[in-house]
Amino acid sequence: MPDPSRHRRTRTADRLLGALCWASALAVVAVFLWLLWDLLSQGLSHLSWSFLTGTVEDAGRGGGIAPVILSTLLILLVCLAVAVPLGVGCATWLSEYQRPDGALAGAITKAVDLLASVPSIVFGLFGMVFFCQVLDLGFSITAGGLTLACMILPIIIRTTLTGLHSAPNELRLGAAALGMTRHSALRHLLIPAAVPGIVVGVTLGISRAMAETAALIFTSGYATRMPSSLSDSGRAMSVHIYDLAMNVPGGAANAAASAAILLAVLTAINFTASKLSDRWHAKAVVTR
Amino acid sequence: MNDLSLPSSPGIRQGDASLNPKSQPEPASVISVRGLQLRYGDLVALRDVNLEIPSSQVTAVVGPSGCGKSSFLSCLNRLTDLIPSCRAEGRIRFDDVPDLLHPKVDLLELRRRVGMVFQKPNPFPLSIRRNFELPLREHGVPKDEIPGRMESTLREVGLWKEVADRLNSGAQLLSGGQQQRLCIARALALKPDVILFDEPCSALDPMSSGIVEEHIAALKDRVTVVIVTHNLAQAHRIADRLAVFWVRDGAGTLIEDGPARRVFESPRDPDAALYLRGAKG
Ligand SMILES: Nc1ncnc2c1ncn2[C@@H]1O[C@H](COP(=O)(O)OP(=O)(O)OP(=O)(O)O)[C@@H](O)[C@H]1O
Ligand SMILES: [Mg+2]
Repeated sequence: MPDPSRHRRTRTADRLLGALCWASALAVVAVFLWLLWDLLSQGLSHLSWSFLTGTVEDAGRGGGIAPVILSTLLILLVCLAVAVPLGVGCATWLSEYQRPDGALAGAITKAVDLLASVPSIVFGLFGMVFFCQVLDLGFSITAGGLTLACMILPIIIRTTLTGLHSAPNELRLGAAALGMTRHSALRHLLIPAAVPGIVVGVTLGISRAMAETAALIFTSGYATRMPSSLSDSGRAMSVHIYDLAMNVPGGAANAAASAAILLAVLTAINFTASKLSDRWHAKAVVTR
Repeated sequence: MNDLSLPSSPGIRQGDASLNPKSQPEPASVISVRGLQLRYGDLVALRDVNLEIPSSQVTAVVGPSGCGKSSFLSCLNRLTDLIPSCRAEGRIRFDDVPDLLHPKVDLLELRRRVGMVFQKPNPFPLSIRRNFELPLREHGVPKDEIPGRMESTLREVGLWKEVADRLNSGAQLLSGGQQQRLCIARALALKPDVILFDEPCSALDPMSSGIVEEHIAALKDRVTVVIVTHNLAQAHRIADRLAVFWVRDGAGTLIEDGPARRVFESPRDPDAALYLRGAKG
């Protein structure tokens, strides 16, 4: 039964919903722009080539952030070198060598999900006890990298799993029907199919790792001198920003400048990763 | 076929084959299935299937949906092993392999010798060339032999002219019918004794379907063909032997088999008779 007033009411509701969605989208953009503005207006005047290449002076109020950048990269390197092979391996084992309803696989998947929800400060404390003290690595880039590896492992496992699950089962059946080993099906067909997923995981992992403070303060420490080996203590970007903002009066401008650099690097990594994954896709299909 | 109904020992079988060339009127069976039972967990998908599959002939497997035709095929190359809940019992002799369900059977070699083509064309998402290189390298075919094998089998399925100048482009850019012929060529390149087809034409348009069908029919000089089809006209056109599956007491089973002509003209089983007249199933 057509009822014009009801019609009008649903139309009003429609409009209202539309307006709400618009408003929330605009709010998100506004927050982001405000953040960017805040960082740049405070930090832009301090950004310079010598800021990137100089050593930390006067607790960070002066000089540059070169040692911080290097420490951050080294921590990241250790973290990825451990987390990527381990995560991809674990996901492959879960997805391809275990029955999905198996008890062991179920327990491990649960553990991975649980690990993903552990607050980073807990990882920091664990890292301090296990890597720094039990394994006797001290406050070092290695200890920090390993702690971060534990933290991003669940992300990499999850995304790799998603990638492997999205690989069509026909690939597995087809390869098996041609008498191919599971190992070569994995190597030539399934892992390549999961690469976009792995790239997403690594990107998310890097973002999470670069943003991390709590897990690093107790493990890689906050020494500001240039690290000469992986067993040196080294200050990561986010630790530096935190320290400047919280503990160093007059450090706010350099904190903002460092944060702007961190943001730029993260954006660049995100961009490159998505480009790489597109390229890989095109290449895998066409020329391999 | 009765003289072959008992499983013979591998030694005798090999001797047989070398003594009797292919000109034999009644070809030896390359696969003989005895008392096959297949379960998915508690569900019995196949019960007591007995079937002789003669070499160098086309055996068509028909029957209503869910009667276990695909399951039957995947027993023959042990693809059933990929399904954790799946258990096959009974005895399947394949050429000189006395019991291909035996856990110690070399699956990679078995699957090389018993190829399979699926309903949905499944070329690897790689170049046409890589689609051949991957499985052939895996089976130890020397690198310099691969282009030759690829070309000859692509010719055999009438695809060579269409793809000769685009071997390095993606196999998934081909049309459905071309993809299916690529998959047939890829299976042939491994020099199998048997190729299993699971409704190979049903995902294709009528035109491609006709082309693929012709090439399948032409294969029997080289390999034994077992083909599942829902298309009785197709079975009529290409089958030398016909096997009709049916669901009895909740499980799939073979209700009739024999020379295609005889089964089509005078089926003994009443269900098979109705089904083949297109009135049932
Ligand atoms: N992976 C599986 N797990 C559990 N049950 C299965 C599985 N595959 C098949 N079945 C069951 O086994 C029976 C036979 O299935 P099958 O696919 O072999 O039939 P089919 O004759 O090939 O049917 P169709 O003509 O529709 O392809 C069905 O009852 C089906 O539900
Ligand atoms: Mg089927």
